[in-house]
Amino acid sequence: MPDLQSLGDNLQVGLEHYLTLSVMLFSIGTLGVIFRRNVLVMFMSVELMLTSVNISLVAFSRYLDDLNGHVLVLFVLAVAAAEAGVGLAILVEIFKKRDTVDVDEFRQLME
Amino acid sequence: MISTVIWCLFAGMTVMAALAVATSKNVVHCGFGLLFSLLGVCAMYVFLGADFLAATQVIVYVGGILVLILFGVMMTHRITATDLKSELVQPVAALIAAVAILVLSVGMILEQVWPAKEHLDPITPTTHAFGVSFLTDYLFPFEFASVLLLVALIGAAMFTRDSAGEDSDHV
Amino acid sequence: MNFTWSDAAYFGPEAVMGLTFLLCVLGDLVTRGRRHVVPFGTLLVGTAISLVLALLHPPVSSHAILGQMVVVDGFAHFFRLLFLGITFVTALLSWSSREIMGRDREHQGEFYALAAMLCFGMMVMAESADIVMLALSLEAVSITSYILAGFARFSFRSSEAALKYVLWGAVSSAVMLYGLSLFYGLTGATSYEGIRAGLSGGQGGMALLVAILFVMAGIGYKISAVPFHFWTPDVYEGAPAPVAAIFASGPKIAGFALMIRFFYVALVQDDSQGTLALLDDVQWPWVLAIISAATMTLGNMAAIRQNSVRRLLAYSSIAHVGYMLMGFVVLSANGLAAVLFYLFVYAIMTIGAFLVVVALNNRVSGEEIDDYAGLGFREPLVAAMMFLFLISLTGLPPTAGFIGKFYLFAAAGEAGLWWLAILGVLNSVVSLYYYMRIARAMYFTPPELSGRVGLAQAHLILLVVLAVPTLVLGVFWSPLKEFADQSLRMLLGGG
Repeated sequence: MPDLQSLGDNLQVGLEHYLTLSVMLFSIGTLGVIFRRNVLVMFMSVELMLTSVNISLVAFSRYLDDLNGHVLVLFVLAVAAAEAGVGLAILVEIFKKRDTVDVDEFRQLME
Repeated sequence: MISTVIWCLFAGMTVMAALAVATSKNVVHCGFGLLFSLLGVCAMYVFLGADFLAATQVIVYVGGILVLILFGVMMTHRITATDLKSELVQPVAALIAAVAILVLSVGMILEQVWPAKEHLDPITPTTHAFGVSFLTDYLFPFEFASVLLLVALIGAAMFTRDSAGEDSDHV
Repeated sequence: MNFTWSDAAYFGPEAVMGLTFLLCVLGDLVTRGRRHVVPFGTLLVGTAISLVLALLHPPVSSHAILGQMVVVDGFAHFFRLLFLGITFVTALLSWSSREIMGRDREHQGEFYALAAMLCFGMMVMAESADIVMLALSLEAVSITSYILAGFARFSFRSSEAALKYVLWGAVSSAVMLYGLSLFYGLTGATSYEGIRAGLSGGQGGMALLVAILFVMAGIGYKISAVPFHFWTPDVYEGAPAPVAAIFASGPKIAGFALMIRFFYVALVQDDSQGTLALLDDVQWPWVLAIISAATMTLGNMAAIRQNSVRRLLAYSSIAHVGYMLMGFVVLSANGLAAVLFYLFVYAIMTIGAFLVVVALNNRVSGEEIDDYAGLGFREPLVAAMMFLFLISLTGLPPTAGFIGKFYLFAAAGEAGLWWLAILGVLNSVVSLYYYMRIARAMYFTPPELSGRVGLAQAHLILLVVLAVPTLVLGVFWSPLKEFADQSLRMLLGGG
C-alpha cells in the first residue's frame, strides 16, 4: 500500500496533463454557459470554469515550487462563493416575484 | 505506474462529470455531475500536494453544491423560463468563440515552454505556510476578501428578505 | 513581512472609506433601518474626511505598501479624488431620488453602505499592484455593482437585469482569472513588476496572447467595451437612475484605471527615448484599436435607434468608452494623459446628464424622449443644463467635452492612427444627431402640460455644481491637463 508521498513521486504525469485537464474543464464550462438556457446550469458551468482556473493555478504552483498560487486559489474560492451567493439570492428574488405575479393574475381572474 | 492509472481515473471522472453538467437535461443530474467533477478536482489537488486546498475544496464546494442541488430541485421548472440570452449573444458567434478558445488553448499547451522545474521537490504540508502568508504578505488581501464576503452577505440578505411592505400586510 | 503600521499613513483615505462602509452597516443596524439619515450622514462625513486626507497628503513618490499589494502614487491620487467626488455627488443625488427614497425605503441604509464599499473597491482597483489584488478589488466592485443593479426590488426588470449582470459578470471574471493564472504560470510572479521581469526573459508566445486576450475580456466587460457591452443598456435601464449614474461613471472609470496600470506596468516597457514599447511581439495595439473603433461605432449606431433617454445615455456611454480606448491604444504618455483628462470630464458630464434623468424621474412619468417635450419652457434652468451636458457629451466647444476629445483625437493622430481619429470625429457627428433629438424635444416641441415641473432644490443645486466645471474646463483646461500629466509621471517614470 503506497503512501501519498510515493504516489506523488511515481506519477508519470506532468504539467501539460494538468493544463490539458484544466483547458478541457474550461471549455466544457464555456460551452455550458453558452448553450444551456437553465440559469442554475449556467451557474454550475461558471463554477466549472473557476475550478479549471484553480487546477491550473495549483499545477503551476507545484511546478514552480511557489506557494503564492495556492493563496490565489483560496481567494478565487472566496470570490466564487460570493458570486454564487449573490447570484442565487437574485434568482430567489426573481422566483418570488414570478410567484407573486402569478398569484396576482390568479386573483384578477377570480374577481 | 499504478499511481498514473489512478490519476487517469480521477481525471476521467472529472471530465465525464463536467460533461454531464453541460449536457444533462435533468438539473439534479447536473448538480451531481458538478459534485463528482469537484471531487475529482479535489483528487488532483492531492496529487499536486495541495493538502489544505483539497480539504477546503471539499468543505466549501461540496457544501455549496448540495445547496445548489436543493435550489435546483425546488425551483428550476419555473426559472428556466427566464431568458438571459441577449439578442447580441448569437449561438453561432459564441460557438466560434468557444472553438477559438479551445484551439488557442491547445496550441498554447503544445507550443508553450513553461518555466517549470524538471525535478520536483517532495511534497510538504502547506497549512503552516498558508497561515504565515495570510498574516504577513497577504494580510491586506485577506482582510479585503473578508469585507467582500460581508458585502455578498448583505446583498444576499437584502435580496432574499421579505420587504417591509409585505410584512405589514401579514401583521 | 513588509507589512508595517507606517504604511497606514499612505493608505488613510482608503482605510477611512473601508471604515465608512462598516459604520454605515452598523449605523443602519443600530437604528433598525429607520433613520436613513444615519448611514447617509456617515457616508457623507466619511467621504469628506477621506477627501480631506487625500488632499492634505498627495503622494510625492511611489509607495508600494501593505506587503507590495497596492501602490500609492500620483496616478492613484488622481483616481482617488475622482472616485471620492463621484461618491459624494451620487450620494447627494440619491438622497432626494424617488427610486431610492420612495417605495423601497427599508433598503436605503444598505444603499449608502454599498456606495461606500464601491468607492473603497474602486480606489483599491486603481492602486492594485498584484494580480491577487487586481482580482479581489475587481470582484469587490463587481459584486457591489450586482447588488446595486438589483436594488429596485419592486421592479421585475431590475432583478432580471441584475441576474443577467451577475451571470455574465461571473463568466467574464472566470475568463479573466484564467488569463491571470496563465500570467502566473508564465512568470511565477503575482506582482505586476514580477510579471514584467518574468516576461522580459522572452516567455512570450501563444500562452501570453491567450492570457492578454482573457484579461482584456474580463476588463472589457467591466468597462463595457464591444463585444462585452450587451449588459449595459439593460442594467442601466433596470437599475434605479442614481445607480445608473454611478455605473456610468464609477466602475467604468475604475476599470480604465486598473487596465492602464496593469498593462503599462506589467506589459509595457519604457525604452530610453521616452517612448513606450511592448515587451513582446503580440500586436495588441491593433486588437485594441479595432475594439475601440467597434465600441464607438456600435454604441453610437445603437444609440440612434433609442427612444428612451436612459437607454440612449447607456449606449452613448458605450461610445465614450470607445473614444477613451483610443487614447489607451497609442502607447504614449500623451494618450494616457488624454484618457485621464477625458475620464474626469466624462464623469462630470455623464453624472450631470443622469442627474437630469433622476430629477425628472421624480416628477415626469416616463423617460421617453417625448416625455421631455417642452422642458425648455417649463424648466428653463434644467433644460439649459441638460443642453450643456449634451453638447459636452457630443464634444462641441466651448465645453470640457470638446477639449477632452481634442486631446484624444490628437493623441491618436500623433501616433499615426489617423483612421481611428477620423472615425472618432465621424462618430461624434453621428452622436450630435441623437443628442440633439433630446434638445429638439426640449426646445422645439410644445409641452403637453404647462407650468413648472417642480424639482427638488438639492437636484437643482447639484446640477449647477456639475455644470460649472463642464463649462469652466472648456475654457481653462490647462490646470486639469497638468494634473493629469503630473499624475502619470510616477506611473510611467517609475516603470
